[in-house]
Amino acid sequence: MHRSLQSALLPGALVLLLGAVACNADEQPLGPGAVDPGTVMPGGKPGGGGGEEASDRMTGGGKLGEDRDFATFGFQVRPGQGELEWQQHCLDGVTSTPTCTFGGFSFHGSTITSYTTNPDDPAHCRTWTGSGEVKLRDPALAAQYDGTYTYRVDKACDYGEPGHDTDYMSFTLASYHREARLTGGNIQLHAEQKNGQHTIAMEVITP
Amino acid sequence: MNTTLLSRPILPFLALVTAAVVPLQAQTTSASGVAAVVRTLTLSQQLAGATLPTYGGVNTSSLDAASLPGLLSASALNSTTTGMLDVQDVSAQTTSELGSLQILNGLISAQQVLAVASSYANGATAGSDAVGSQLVGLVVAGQSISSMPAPNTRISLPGVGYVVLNEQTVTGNGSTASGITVNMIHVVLQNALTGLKTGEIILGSAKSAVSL
Repeated sequence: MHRSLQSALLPGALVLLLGAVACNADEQPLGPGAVDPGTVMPGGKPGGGGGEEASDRMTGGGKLGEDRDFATFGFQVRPGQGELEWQQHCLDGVTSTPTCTFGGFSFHGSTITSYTTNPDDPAHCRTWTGSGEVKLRDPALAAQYDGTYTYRVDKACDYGEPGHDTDYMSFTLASYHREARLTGGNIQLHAEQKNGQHTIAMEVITP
Repeated sequence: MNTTLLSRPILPFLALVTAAVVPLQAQTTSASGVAAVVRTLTLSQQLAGATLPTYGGVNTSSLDAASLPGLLSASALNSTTTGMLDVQDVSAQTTSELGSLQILNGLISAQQVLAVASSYANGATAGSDAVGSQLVGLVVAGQSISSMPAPNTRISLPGVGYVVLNEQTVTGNGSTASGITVNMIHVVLQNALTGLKTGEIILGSAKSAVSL
């Protein structure tokens, strides 16, 4: 049986809710594009849809977690384009903890397929999906799992400045999932003006 | 006549551009990170350096491993900068990190170094911080340092120079401008006889600055 992120990372509380997903994962190796991260949502919420298409932008960067198991990230996103960099650090290597089952890895998301408001809090939070490249640090696992994956930012929220301990990030990549308030950094939602135009300097001054 | 014909379509455009640009002229956002900087009398290298584009966005740079014999070895070097210039809110963030590092043949070692620099200005206040920065498994000259050193902690390295841990430099006025530079490990190499600086090694360097 193939090792799968789905079956390996499911928190105990979600096993029943996501049992069907886990079974599917057992039948499907974690190869490039093998698992749709949209099927694994925090709290077992399926899909996470319901938001409206967003026309603004969001940027952010920082850190989730502390000490020996943490992630750093940076992103910019707007309709149709964006990038996301994610670095998962597991200083004790591959462990049974939910976020280190596959050890440390880097992910570079280079495409955006959807960008919407988050229905839970459309004034502060955005949701988006895209795809990018995964590089696992463990050589044996890398040989088996490195490749192209779709990902989902379930929720990125700007609750003001400074962003640490207030802004929120939730990220799902196959069955890897991490969500928390930021332990460093900031997320900034750049609102669209009422006339429908952005106030980003580059767009304004470029004829 | 020619002037009239030309000015009609151009003037409204110029007025629009001028009105739009003037409020933005004072705004700036800048950020950069570099996982490692090594400067000696014969060598100058920056590893995994990333600089934020002028108007914002995201930029990242990574190296799987680096080795400068006798000076530095490290793995998983990465710097990522993000930020955006905006009329209402300007922000910039940088993370810079590396792992499994050895400096000067093991005189200093650490399992993980992470520098986080974050700056914002929103019209009411401006601020910067290094919250999230960390040193894990740090050993300096055989002495283990388990807790996060206070900003700008200096430790002498006899015969070599000194090291500044969690080096922080803050700029700005707190209302319209703010910036911070964080160097998690900054080794200053000195001539043992004269005390003159002969080089430096900086690991985990993150900068962010904004003005509105």
